[in-house]
Amino acid sequence: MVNTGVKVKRNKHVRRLDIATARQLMWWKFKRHRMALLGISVILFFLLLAIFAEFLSPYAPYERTAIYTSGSPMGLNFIDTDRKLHICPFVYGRVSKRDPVTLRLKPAIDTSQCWPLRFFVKGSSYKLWGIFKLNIHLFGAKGGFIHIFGTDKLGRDLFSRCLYATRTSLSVGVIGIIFTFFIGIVMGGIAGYIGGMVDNIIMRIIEFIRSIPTLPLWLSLAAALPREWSALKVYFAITLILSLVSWTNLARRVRSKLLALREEDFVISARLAGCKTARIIRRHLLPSFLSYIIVDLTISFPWMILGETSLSFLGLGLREPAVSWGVLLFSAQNILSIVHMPWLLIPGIFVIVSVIAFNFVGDGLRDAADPYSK
Amino acid sequence: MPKDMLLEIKDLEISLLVESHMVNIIDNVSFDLKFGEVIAIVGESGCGKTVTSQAIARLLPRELKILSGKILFYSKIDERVLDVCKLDPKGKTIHYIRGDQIGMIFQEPMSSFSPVYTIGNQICEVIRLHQKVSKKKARNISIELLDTVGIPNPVAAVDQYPHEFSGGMRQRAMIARAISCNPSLLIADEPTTALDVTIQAQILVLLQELQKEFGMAIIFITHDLGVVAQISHRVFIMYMGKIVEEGSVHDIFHNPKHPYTENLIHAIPKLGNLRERRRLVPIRGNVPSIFDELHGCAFHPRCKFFMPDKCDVHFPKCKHLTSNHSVWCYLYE
Amino acid sequence: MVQILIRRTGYALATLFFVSIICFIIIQLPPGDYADAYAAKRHAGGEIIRAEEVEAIRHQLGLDRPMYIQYLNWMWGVVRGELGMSLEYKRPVSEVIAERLPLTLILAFSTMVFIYSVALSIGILSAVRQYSAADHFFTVIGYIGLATPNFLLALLLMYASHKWFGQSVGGLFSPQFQDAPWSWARLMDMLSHLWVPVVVLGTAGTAFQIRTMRAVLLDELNKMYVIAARSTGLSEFRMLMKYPVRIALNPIVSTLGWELTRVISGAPIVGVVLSLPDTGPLFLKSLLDQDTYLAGAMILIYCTLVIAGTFISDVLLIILDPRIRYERLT
Ligand SMILES: Nc1ncnc2c1ncn2[C@@H]1O[C@H](COP(=O)(O)OP(=O)(O)O)[C@@H](O)[C@H]1O
Ligand SMILES: [Mg+2]
Repeated sequence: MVNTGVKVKRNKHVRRLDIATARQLMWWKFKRHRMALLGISVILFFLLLAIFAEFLSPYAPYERTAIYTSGSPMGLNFIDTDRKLHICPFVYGRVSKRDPVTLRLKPAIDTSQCWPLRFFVKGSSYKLWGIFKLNIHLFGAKGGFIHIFGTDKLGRDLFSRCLYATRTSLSVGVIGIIFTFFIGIVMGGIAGYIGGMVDNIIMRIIEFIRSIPTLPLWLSLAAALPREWSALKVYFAITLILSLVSWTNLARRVRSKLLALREEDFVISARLAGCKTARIIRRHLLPSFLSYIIVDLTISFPWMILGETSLSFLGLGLREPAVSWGVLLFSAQNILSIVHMPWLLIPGIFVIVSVIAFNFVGDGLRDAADPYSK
Repeated sequence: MPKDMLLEIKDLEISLLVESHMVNIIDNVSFDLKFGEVIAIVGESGCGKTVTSQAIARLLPRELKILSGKILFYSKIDERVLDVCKLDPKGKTIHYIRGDQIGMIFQEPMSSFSPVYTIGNQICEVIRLHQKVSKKKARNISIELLDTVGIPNPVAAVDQYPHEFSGGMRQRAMIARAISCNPSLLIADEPTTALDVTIQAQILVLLQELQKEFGMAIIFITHDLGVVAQISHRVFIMYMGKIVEEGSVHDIFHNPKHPYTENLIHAIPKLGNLRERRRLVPIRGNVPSIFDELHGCAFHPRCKFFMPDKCDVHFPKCKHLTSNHSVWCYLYE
Repeated sequence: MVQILIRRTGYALATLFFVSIICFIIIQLPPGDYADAYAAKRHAGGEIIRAEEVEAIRHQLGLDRPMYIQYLNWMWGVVRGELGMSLEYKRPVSEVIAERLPLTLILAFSTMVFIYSVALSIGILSAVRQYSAADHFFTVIGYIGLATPNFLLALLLMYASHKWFGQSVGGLFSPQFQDAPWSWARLMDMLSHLWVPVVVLGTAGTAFQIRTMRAVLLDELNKMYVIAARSTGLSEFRMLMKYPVRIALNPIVSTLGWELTRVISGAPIVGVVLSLPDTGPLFLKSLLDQDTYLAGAMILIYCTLVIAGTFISDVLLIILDPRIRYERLT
């Protein structure tokens, strides 16, 4: 036995193991994409949160609990102070107490009260997707209020706001991606299909955009938006600004693929058969590199989210009354508020987890799209 | 122990380790090599020639392990016998043997040199690694070497980068590097496969001349029996990690015994007697994968003499036909 | 060689020209011009300003001329180092920036050094010991590092240091050195504060470069020349450093300019969160106040830095990779 590291007993069974290996090898290869599968599940979960935000959140995003401002997250308990086990989890009651030093009213835990968790409770009414008028919420506390992520300075429920923010932030990503997709495809398509001078100019523009620092550019473009614009207008403007910078990758990919593909047989034969240019692109070229486009778009998704979050955090992106992850983090801007209310950083976890999930999926897709990668 | 022995490989077994499973790649391979002898290892690609040759210098990648067997190297300087398998792969001895006692040439001359250093730099490095000479001296030796291997204008070539060389030139430079410390063994792993036919011939002639001049032993690895005849003394035919026939060049070409060897010979285009118009016969089927479960002789699915319940049960024993012609096949039992 | 250098310089200058146009447009973007803004400011201060006065200012500053003349005027000023007046600070923009620019430069430079020194060593380790515990560890760290926005990392660091060390990590100087003149002690004090913004600013880049280095090196390790070099008897470490690592450096060097873009890009936001006395907060404030000349000048400076960085990395690459030299010369 030389240099084996693992001691392996050689016997008849070794060959048996070998038979399984071919199939196992495939499985091992597949296993590497487990992270991508995990990423997809996380993204789907976030999507569900976003789609059913009204139902899943116990409160409306602007609803205030006046006696529980700047309140800390309320933990769920099963065992109360009398060591009695509750089947249904509960939260302790909260009362306002005057701080002996500052003489300010401060919320405090009142262990004499137990507010049990209840499912499908009636609460503030909402219109799900703007259609169904409902007032059922997934959960609530009987006899009091429940803020599992705590509340902000105005007493608004952070958990509910996080769910609504997920909707906004993901949709900024999605809409940004759609813009990116169109700009990228059109610019790359023009460059690759027409070629020559046009191609040259577009490639120079792309190089130019890639060689200037993006965030300051975003910032200054966002700062130039008129202050009196409505939230919706700002929202679209911000997504457009984000995609103005991110289309270059896709355009380059589309262009290089086009340049390679237009020499290929099936395109030439399609042209000989008299197909129109647009039709050739749509019917023959697009499908053949759809996978690359999907990969590129997946990879630029996290940049969209990070971009929106950063802009809003600085007060130059979305603003109240819009609710996005960045807007929520905006209130955690100074050290004092973080020290006193560290739960304001919770939306940051949403940002990190979603970006990691998208990166996992992007990596997995990239591997899958490229059969020659290891 | 015979006095002029240089290398002796006994029952070498090498396995591929995949996530704690093992797949045998080299199975019970044994051969030996005397000082100044040229042997050829021939087989279709994927049969384990490269793995065998890299095992001799302990250059196997991490996932390939030597399971058992001996690789005895009879060192020319201090008369020691080293079992290469037992050496620490990161130790001093193996680093001394590599380059100094064993030189290697590889299949792809295009990528065997680093593109960012000059040819001279990469040759001098080896010289200065194994010999205590000044930079200037090493450079002069390199120029001489480049001249020896037939590179025109070696003084200029020494300062050129690999990408400024053609494939054939690069292979010559590679040979110069491999023989720079006057090794007693040169392992040439398909040195001509990637080259044009005319250049192939030139490189073969060059190797032959160098062998005569310096007297080193050569292990010549190829998948092309055609290039073997002019250069080697003995030939080993390899199939799926096993040696299936060995013999002198004469035996193999004029009296092939194993059906696989026969097939290989029929697959050689014969330039000399074009008039005969003999049809090239490709070998049936493909090389099986190492993952295929094959009992007995691995060649049986492609063999026209396949004997059921015999060939596919156990691997045949060695049959010595003459003192140095052996075959592993049931046809001769 | 000289030819390539000239061409690269040409590219850099052309980019600079376009950047200057963008900056000028950004300066012009907000409705109204400097004169209006000035008037509004005075008006807010309770003064009454007549329209003729505004016109006079406008004429005096040349704001009533055609756009391209204004651009040329502005550019001429830029070339001479006059970047206009800051509305907020009521001082020349160049003066305001000059106070803070050195710190931005120090920060950017230190961050680049941090990114590459950490990323190269960890990248090499991860590639050589692929699938080892260390490799997995750094892969996980890398994913998190890439996903955490700079400002969030800064906030977390601030919170952690407040919670566990009871001190604030904001700023670049301790209170006693805040306004002190430069001295050895002040420099040391700054260095002891500098690591926080450097880490915050550099984490994402480091994570990215580790991945790049690892991937490139793994590719290189599979190349024939590695085995060929091993077969000459070189020790493993020397072989690694001289052959695959050296080649893996080329793609890494070619990311220098782009990485600098990212560092410069992230600097303002980190500066704001950590309240550094560098150009970051200045830039953000100028944007929020629509202090257009200051904002435009800042963008111009950021872009110039990046263009210079890209230029340097291009030149470095030409020096490092003989293949490029060869290609361009023939
Ligand atoms: N690093 C490796 N990992 C997995 N399989 C390998 C490795 N190296 C060689 N093999 C397998 O070992 C067998 C022999 O390879 P090799 O010695 O390179 O063949 P050749 O005779 O063409 O030189 C092949 O089937 C190949 O798939
Ligand atoms: Mg081989």
